[in-house]
Amino acid sequence: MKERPVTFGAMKSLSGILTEPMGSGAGQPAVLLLNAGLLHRVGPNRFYVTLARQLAAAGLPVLRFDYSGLGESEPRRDELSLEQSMLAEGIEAMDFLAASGVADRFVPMGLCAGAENAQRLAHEDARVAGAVLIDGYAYRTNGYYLRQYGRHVLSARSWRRVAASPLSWWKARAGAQAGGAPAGGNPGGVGFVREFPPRETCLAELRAILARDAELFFVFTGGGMTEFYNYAGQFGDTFPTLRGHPRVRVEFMNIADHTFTLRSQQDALFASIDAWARATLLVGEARVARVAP
Amino acid sequence: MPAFYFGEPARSLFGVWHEPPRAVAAPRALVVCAPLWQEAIRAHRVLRQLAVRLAKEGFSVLRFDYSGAGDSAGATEHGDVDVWLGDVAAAVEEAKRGKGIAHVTLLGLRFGATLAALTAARREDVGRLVLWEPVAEGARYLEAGFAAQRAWRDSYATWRRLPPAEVSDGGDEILGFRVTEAMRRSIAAVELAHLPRTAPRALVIERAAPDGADRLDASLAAHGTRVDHEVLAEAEVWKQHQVEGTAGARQTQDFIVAWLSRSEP
Repeated sequence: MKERPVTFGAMKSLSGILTEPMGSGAGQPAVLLLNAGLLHRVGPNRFYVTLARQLAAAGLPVLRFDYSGLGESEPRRDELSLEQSMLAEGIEAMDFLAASGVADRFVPMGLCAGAENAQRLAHEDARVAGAVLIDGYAYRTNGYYLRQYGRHVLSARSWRRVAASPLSWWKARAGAQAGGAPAGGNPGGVGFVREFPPRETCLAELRAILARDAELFFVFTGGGMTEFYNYAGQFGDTFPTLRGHPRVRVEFMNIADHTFTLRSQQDALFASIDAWARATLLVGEARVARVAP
Repeated sequence: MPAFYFGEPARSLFGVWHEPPRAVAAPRALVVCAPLWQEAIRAHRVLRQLAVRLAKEGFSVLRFDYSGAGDSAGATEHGDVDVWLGDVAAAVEEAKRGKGIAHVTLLGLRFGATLAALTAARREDVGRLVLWEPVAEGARYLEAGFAAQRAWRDSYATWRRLPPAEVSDGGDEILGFRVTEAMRRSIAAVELAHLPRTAPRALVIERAAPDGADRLDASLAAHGTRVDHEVLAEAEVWKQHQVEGTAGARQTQDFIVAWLSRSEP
């Protein structure tokens, strides 16, 4: 594994670290690690660095870089919206790696906003061969509501609270519906309101990505997605037409919080992504048997 | 702002230069010593902002990551106080290299300030120290870190209604980072009040004067350092994430820039 700093982009203002396998990574797709919200390219608890080195050891080149205005990258001077600039910069990263002869197919990965950007990039650019979306878009289902509120229905304490203060109960519930953190703080969640596209739009994007034979790996954390996702089969219930799809893998990490604060959860995430990458992304003899969905 | 790797190949360190916009007659080099672990990630943008401002004032500023931190080589479990001091020494050599500079300024935040002070005690070429909320006592620093981890773990388990055993961390983690026995032992042994001679000039900035701050001043002064001590009750930039455009500890940044511009070693 070897690492070097790189600068790229239309304004040569984007800064990243390219991690490459020691042997020839020729023919393998390159992984792009996309900023998790405001965090710079080392990722939450530096786990993007560990992940980059682990994937490079498996044989994949990996670029972790900062979007403009984050980490080591300069702010943009044009009028592009944040969403437009992040899409443009993801494409610039792929253009750079292609022009450098590193790879011609790509696998964006990211947590939270990084997952949203990875999905957008996968939808927009046919060079994307796969994506890892950690705590990306999620939609509540009947099963979600049953698990989220079912226990309150059976709880005498909850009924006493409603009787004592119906308005505060309603406000707390309305806040959770809007995607905000619950009253009293959320020690493992996102801590801010997230807006997702309509479920049909998301499904159409995913179907378009899969129609190009791309591989998708979704990871949802129990702590990070409490307001949106709370059981292992929720993805299949949300998108029944994708349930059991041969190129879709979904993992629910119930114990993990949004930023994988516990090291044991970081290690579990590395192992899952590593196994998935070896089974689905590697080209040629390096590929191992596919992980059961 | 060229990014590069330096130091021994086996433990190459990631660095970024922030150079003055124009050539200056008497170049002044400054090395930034970041905090450890989660605090380093949260303070990253603010230290970068400060480096950019200092470069505009004529300093050649080197920011770098310790072994096992940021973009430098090494697993996150790698390192202890001796390793990090070796990294700071390598950064000082890098900052002086080819510039004909006799003295450098070390600017550190939290445990980075501690490493800056310890480095100055070992070398003759540190002219000025800027110690931003230094960790004066390593044992108390670890105690506070493990307490923060326990508080997070307990509130997370309660909020998620998880059995405590399911969020167990083995007792050796601080907010996302494993603290090895070597780290723990070496950090616990740090006591800035027992410093020998350091640099001719020092600026100590704290949000409030905690226990031990006066002893740090006395320790520095006892060995001939002229100390300026400033209390600036601003946001703790190592406790929250900052983005471009936010005024992260603006008053503190202003004070540091002004002090460095007017004080000479």
